[in-house]
Amino acid sequence: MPDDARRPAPGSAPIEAPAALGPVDWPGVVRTVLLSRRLDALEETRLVPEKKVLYQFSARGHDMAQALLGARLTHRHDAICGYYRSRPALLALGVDLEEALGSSMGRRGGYSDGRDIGVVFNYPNPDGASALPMCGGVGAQYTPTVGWAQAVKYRAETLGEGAYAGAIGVVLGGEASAATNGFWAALNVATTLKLPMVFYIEDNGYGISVPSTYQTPGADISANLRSFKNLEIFSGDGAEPEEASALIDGGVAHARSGAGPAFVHLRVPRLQGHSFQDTQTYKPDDLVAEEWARDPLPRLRDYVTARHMTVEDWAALEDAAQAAVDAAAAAADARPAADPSTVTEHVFSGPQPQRMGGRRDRPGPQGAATPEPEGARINMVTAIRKTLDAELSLNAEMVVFGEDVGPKGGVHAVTLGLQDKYGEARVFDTSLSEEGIIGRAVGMAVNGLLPVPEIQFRKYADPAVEQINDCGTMRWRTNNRFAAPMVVRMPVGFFKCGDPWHSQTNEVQFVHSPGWKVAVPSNAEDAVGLLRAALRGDDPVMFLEHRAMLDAAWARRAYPGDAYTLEFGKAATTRAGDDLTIVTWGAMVERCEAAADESGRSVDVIDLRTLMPWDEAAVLASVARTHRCLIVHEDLRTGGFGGEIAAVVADKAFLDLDAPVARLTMPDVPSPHNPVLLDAVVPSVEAIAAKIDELVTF
Amino acid sequence: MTVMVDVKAPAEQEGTQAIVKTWFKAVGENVAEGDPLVELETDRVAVEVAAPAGGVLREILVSAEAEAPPGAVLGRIDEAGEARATDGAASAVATPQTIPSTTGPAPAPGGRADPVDPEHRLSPAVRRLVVEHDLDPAAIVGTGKNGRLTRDDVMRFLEATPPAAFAKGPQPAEPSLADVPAPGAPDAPAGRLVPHTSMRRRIADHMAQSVATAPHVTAVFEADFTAIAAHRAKHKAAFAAQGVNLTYTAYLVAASVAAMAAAPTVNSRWREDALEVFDDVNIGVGTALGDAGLIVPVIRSAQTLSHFGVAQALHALTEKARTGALAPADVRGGTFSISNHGVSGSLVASPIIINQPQSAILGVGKLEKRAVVRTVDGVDSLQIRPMAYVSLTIDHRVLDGAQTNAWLTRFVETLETWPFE
Repeated sequence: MPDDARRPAPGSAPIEAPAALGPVDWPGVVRTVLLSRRLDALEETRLVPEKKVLYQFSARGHDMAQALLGARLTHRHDAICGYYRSRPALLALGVDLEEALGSSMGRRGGYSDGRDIGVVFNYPNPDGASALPMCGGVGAQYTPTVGWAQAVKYRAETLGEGAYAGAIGVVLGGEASAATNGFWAALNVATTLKLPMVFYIEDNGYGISVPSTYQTPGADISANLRSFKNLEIFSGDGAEPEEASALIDGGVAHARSGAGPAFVHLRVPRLQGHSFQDTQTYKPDDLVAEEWARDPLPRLRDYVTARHMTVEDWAALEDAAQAAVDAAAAAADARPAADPSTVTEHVFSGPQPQRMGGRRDRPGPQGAATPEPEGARINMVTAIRKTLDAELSLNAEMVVFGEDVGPKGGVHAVTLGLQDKYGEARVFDTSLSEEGIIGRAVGMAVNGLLPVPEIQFRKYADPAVEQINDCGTMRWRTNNRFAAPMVVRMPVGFFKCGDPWHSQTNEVQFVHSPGWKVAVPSNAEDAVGLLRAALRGDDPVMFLEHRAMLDAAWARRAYPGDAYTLEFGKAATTRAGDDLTIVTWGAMVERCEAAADESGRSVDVIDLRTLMPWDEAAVLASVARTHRCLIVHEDLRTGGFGGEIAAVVADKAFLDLDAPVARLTMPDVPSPHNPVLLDAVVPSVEAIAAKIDELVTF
Repeated sequence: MTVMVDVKAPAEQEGTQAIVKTWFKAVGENVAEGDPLVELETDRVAVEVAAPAGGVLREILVSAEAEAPPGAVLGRIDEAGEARATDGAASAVATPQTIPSTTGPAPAPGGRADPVDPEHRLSPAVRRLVVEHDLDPAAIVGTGKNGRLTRDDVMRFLEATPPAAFAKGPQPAEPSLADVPAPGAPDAPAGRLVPHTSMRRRIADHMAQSVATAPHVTAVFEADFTAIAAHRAKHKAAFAAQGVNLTYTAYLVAASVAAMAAAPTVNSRWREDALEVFDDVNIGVGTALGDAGLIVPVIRSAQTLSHFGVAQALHALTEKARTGALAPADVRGGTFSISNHGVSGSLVASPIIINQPQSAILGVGKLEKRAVVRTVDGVDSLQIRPMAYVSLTIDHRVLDGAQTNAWLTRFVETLETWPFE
């Protein structure tokens, strides 16, 4: 059947709801819309002027269609990810009014305990559809929803969990968000993999003040997507009750059928400014009047009072909505602000488990803290592969993916042979979109899988930075309601030559991104222990594999066993001495050891092994003995992690110091390509030895 | 082309040790000729060194807290503006260093003057050890860069030296002192360490040296201030009208000058082979600076000054001392000193330590009304008079009782017979 046949023309005859969905609960839809209207009014007339609500986004005009959509998310494993104008859909899922208002007011409890803006929703719901933690950045909602949908498909088809059959992921966005990278990343993944997913686009014609002609040619995203394969489009008027209901039902039923993603594109009026502060001076008066003429509320009233309820019923629902909102407002206003002493909690996994995301309730076998070396020395590549292999065999919820990780086995051959062994569903290539890779991992992790994405080179993580940051903050900003533990593997640093694209380290960017742990192993044994600890952990981890060390002879170690785990934040002292402490990690450990030997001085060499957390106690204990501290790293000097170490040493070991705390790093330049140039900037054995001498004789 | 001009410490300075206290400009900043550039602090005075030329401060060779020996090159100014003006002639100049500076001899050709900047600053670890073990860091040889004292140097010193031998404070001669544990020890009395200022160290050295050098003897007389009190009351306003504060000290200076005529060897200096007796009477007057210590500005050639002249000189010096503006010349060259110890309440102080290399010091006790017996027309009567004990502490190597008492007799006589007009 041609696509056009399934796409109703605006104003065409009513379409029957797919029988599987059952009849629409019109009184429920009316209730949701009336609650939303009264919440908006309460905020606009009271709570914003009283400065009890600081950020307010009216859903007026979008509300009816969202209520219809929410009413259709009836599968226990459905998930929806919205944006700042998505409250009606959340109310339809059953989000408590007091929670919603208390969150708007930034009070204790609610979505975030006052940590995040009240319109940035999340809703962990073990008994029905959940709302994935949304983000404040437009477009960031798309790829995590794709991840959820892929997890649903993985559970239903690969793990054979029948409970997931028919579940879907639904993502909400305005038409302007269809211009974002996240939208296209998600669209490509969902259509290539035919994921059970609904793209729900509310087209109100404006992104704040920018007309949609700037977002897509002709201002009609669904028209432009007509040739997209594996995508069913449902486009029409989101302010007409019957038409909106039919389009939504069509999209939801299509996604549930397993035939691939649906694209529901509804035109709706935005009856207020973008936010309370936006006065819409950029809209002509007649346009505003025309938008108000399209207000779905009177149409809904006319529609339902003609077919499904009496005028008296409607009035009773209005009174009930007002009473419920008034009661919720009083209760929400009685909530205090959260205890400020708690605001540093829940950056990382703690004693209290999160309500949704990760595999904390399904821990793997107990690890062993002591290595049991077996066999010949192996290089870091093989060690990492063996660890992934062992964990894949233990954990059916673990998936490994990225660019070229499938048949090729990764550009560094880390995943070589794993797809053959575990199949395409568990070890797979992805589209060339780092935002798609990390964002998808977020949705999978929230669903309870263990995603192990690979970013091909350090700098290729740049397009994924938004998803990386939002993943790291998820636990904190949802006050431990959600978490997305994953292990991101990423090669860093030079290898024989340098260059600005494949060779940077820049670990500090992740250290500075709250919620991420950062591992920087220097050798095969540590790599095994840290990777296994990460894979069995409950936090997002950046596992940074140094390119120069992957096959370096120095980094080869015997495999420490399938149980070996190495706790994060425990440094290794690889050379013991009394005259100077060197703090380093990654590829610089080998050089520091060589320099220490060459210098003839008595030097402590400390391999930090992880930077978040880092072993401050080991460094301070060593400096208390040696009274001198040198930090060596490959990353750039200014703002590099060495500055943090130096500051802590100066602060906490001040009276121990008998020489300046010194750093040896790359200068503040991108990595140069020619090996002669590279050698001139990366700390060399000779430069480290000279610095050792300078500090010891200071 | 750059022309470098040296910024030098003054060739002469009061005291043996000057330390750079503050650089008012940072390297790279513009300076104008005559701008205050760097402040030196000796044990006695603070001295400002002005920029010898305009330009850009290029180098600081002696940084803050480091020693600045007389004549040392403290830094260099790049006279860039003038250098540009003479660019045409630049080829004739062999090196920038050989261009004569406007303020003194050029440095040795072809090289910088040796900055002579041994590293005296202590690292945190060394500082802690020095405090914990009450060490004198100057007594330990530094083997670090520029002679810096390293932690290992201190540890080696501690290992090599018996504990009793290195303490820089007084040896624990009395059991009660020996019982006092070092600061920081578990049973130490509660307290804190107040680091010595360079002035305090200088005073300590000076006092110990004086007592060790000169056998001190103190003679005490009594002086009736009635006459000078009356004179002062009469003339104070007139002096004030000319901006001069008339103090009792002015009378004490004048009376001291008068007393020198009765015993000229009081105004002298002991030398190994001879006694140097001065014609000039340069009288230093001790001025307290609170807890910081005291300073002794000098009225030069007091024998040439009128009473008003003495009062005026005193007034000027006192103001300078209080504002820290004393110049090295203001505290140099004293031949005799006066200690007004009575202003803070003491009646008699003994001995008052002689301001070496002088031979004597006058002490003036608290002025207070006392009942005294006076014979009026052959009849003894009890009278109330403003009285003070005055003392002369002498170096017994130089003076004996006869000169001492002759001096004090003339001194008291001068005060008591001060004419009313």
